[in-house]
Amino acid sequence: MTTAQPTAAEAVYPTTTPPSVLLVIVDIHPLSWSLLASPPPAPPFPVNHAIDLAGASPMTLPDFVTILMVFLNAHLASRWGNEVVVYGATAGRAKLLYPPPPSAVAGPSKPRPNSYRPFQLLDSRIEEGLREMISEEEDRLQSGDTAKLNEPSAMVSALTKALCFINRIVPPSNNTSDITNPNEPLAPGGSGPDRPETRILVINATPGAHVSASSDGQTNGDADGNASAQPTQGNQQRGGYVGLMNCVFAAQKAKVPIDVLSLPPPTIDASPPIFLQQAAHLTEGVYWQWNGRGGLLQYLHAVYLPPASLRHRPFAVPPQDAVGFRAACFCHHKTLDIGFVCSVCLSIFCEPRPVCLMCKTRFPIKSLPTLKTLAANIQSIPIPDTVPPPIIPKGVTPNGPNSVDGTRKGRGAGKTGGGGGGGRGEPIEID
Amino acid sequence: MVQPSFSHPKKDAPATTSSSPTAALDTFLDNQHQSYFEELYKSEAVCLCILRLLPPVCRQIILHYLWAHGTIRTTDVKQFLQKDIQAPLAEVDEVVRPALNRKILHPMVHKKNKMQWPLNDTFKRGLRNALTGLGTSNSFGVPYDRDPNDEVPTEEELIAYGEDTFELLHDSGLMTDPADPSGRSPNLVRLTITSKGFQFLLEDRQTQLWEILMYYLTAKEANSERSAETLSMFFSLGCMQLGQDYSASQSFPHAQNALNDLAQYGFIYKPSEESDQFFPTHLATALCSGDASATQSQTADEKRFLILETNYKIYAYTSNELEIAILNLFVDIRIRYPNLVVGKLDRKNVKAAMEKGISAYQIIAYLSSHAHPQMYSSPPPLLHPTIVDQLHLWDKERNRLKTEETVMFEFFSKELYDDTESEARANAALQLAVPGQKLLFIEPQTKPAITEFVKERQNLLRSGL
Repeated sequence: MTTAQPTAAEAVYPTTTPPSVLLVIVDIHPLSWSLLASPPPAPPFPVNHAIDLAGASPMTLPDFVTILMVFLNAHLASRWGNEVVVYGATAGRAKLLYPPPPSAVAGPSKPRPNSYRPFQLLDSRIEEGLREMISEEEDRLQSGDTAKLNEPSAMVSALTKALCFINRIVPPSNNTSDITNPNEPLAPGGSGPDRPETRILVINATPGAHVSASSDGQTNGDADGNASAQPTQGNQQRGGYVGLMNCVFAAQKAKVPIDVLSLPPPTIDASPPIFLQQAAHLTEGVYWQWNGRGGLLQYLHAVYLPPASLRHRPFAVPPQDAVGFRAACFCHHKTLDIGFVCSVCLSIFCEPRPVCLMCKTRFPIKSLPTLKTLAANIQSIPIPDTVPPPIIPKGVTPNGPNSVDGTRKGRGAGKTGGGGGGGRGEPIEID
Repeated sequence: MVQPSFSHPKKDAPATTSSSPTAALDTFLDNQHQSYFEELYKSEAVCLCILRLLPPVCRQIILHYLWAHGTIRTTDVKQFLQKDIQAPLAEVDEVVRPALNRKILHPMVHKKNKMQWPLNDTFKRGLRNALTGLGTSNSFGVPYDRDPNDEVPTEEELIAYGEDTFELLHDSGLMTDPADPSGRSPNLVRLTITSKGFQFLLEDRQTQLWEILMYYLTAKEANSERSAETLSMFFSLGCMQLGQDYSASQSFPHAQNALNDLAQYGFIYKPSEESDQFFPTHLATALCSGDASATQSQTADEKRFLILETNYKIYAYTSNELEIAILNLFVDIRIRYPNLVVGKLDRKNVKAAMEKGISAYQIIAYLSSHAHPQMYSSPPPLLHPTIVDQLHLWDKERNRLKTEETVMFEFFSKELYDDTESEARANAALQLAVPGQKLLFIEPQTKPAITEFVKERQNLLRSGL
């Protein structure tokens, strides 16, 4: 410990940073982007006149991709050896957009005299990949495969692919070796100077917590009924929540921060995508929600550009809002305040069950009424809202009236006092 | 007491230089004026490369404010760096100092009690254009319009060409005595090498490249030519793609001569002398990549060929003429086979090399950086201490006499002499003491302190008597 701490602060700044690999997952779900392209008018923001002046700005996918390309170029520009990997996630599918697979030799377009060659390759390849994906979506629409089109974006699939990619470029043996000093991200010698640092940036465009865990509003809109839709959805979404959490824990272990940029402004959707927020929180990534008033290019540069080794020290990161640590139940995929946990396999259910649906463990039937009465007495702990809930104009809720969805949304907006309680904090063990 | 001023300034550090491969470039840029940078920043490639040369924290700050409308306010930077608003300005100033030196930021201005650094407009435009690809200066090179059927050299051929030409440059250009600049004869026997030249050979490739380029640039400046165009061309070359051909006349309309010179150094390959088409070799494209990993690792493996035994015998598994010539400087070569040279380190040859100004440190650095992988399998240290010590001893032998500045004190009182001697000795200020004649020789910079001590002591002694 040096005694001259404050004056020697500059000396602490790293003189070099390891090369950094940025894996971007872009949500290009067509329905979400149609919502973003025509946002409702922004509510007045009397606190800051300058912000109030900037009205709600529609954001179309081409506009956003342009911004994203500039941001990715800036990432490449900020150090030699920096790399970019881009995944596109759309309804039920995720695909690697950049770098192109080695088999497909991209016809080397002629270098342009005014753009740096790596930038040009990246930009043209992303554009090409997005066009391919969107035309594939159109094909699916024409072939009448609408059921799949209504699935939420395949974030889990994209995250899994991204983690596999990281695993390939950074062998996991190195990861386990420096588990002993987890709190030294700045130590340059600890993990070798040339070992690239990786981070994942999830750009979410889908409103609400639909990302994986709970049923999508659109899905339910045309489903022929909740009861009949449950079993099939259950299967696919179980993979959703559990898959997402598995990804998060894998990323946490590999020390890969997951940054989340949530595009739907509060006017479209008041409730943050809580599972992505949890992902960012658990992996020490940055979570930030766009306010729908433009300025995305500046925000991207300011918030998401510094590599992980420079975050917190010296650079400030935006503070996390209160994170809802609620979980989704395995039976109906509702987001829960109070859950019932199987003592054998730790599955979460929204109501006491005599037989665990996952591991088939039988619990004494007598305990069920006791549990129900006990659960009714529990006061869930309210999450303090660090950010005042935005005013939602009536009638702009994009999702159709739907029983499951409605209750969840109500909780997310903090309508009830008990909303947003820590479901995780109060596990009730049966038996 | 007088302690603080006694701290010994001369710590014989073995000159740990080569902090960054672009040190030569940095010193060159540090001496340039605003107008020079304005001209440089017209090229997007320069903006991109200069940005990458900044330290990471400073670089991120610049990128942070690149798309903002306003100027950079000190309070904002403090907040971004999580510093206290009241923190002294010097702390922030130190962080952005590199950007100020490169004239990316203008000096601070005060406006309505707010201190801010305006971003250089030329740089801002250049970097924005570099990121969006909307520039117009053709700084990333105009591709050559070639016949699709034309033969194009492969990347390997270009690399080989660059290596060969560069080594020829070593042979012919760098090893000559600088006193005789015309002696560009490739006759290896006549060549001599200076200390500087040997140090150059010890540097890694990128440092060498930038040193050559800066040497070239200062030579141009000496001829009172504008060097900004040429420097901007170096950066453009560094941003080019290996294996791609470019048009010389369109890419660098004002720097044709310099381009032709670079062709001689092996930075670019021209199919024929007056052709407009040129290919940058890996020497050029690796210029700006912070870690020229591909070429570096390749040469690093080739460099490891020396086995040094404790009996001073050297086995060098190489057929590279240049390396053999270098070895010949300080090794008595006994046997030469097609791929093996056997020699012995002996006093005569090593001292001959030292006469030329090559130090023992340099020889040791050369030996250890070229050590064969086999040498690493024996327990460390890599080079046997006997040999390292012997080299240092030979070096010392040469430097038996050393001149040092000193201050002489002459005393009449034995008591005063003894006191002063112990005081100087305690503070490591003493160079030599001659008790018989009551003479003290001390470090010059400690003179005021010693004088003061002597006076004080004198007064004390007198009053005591």
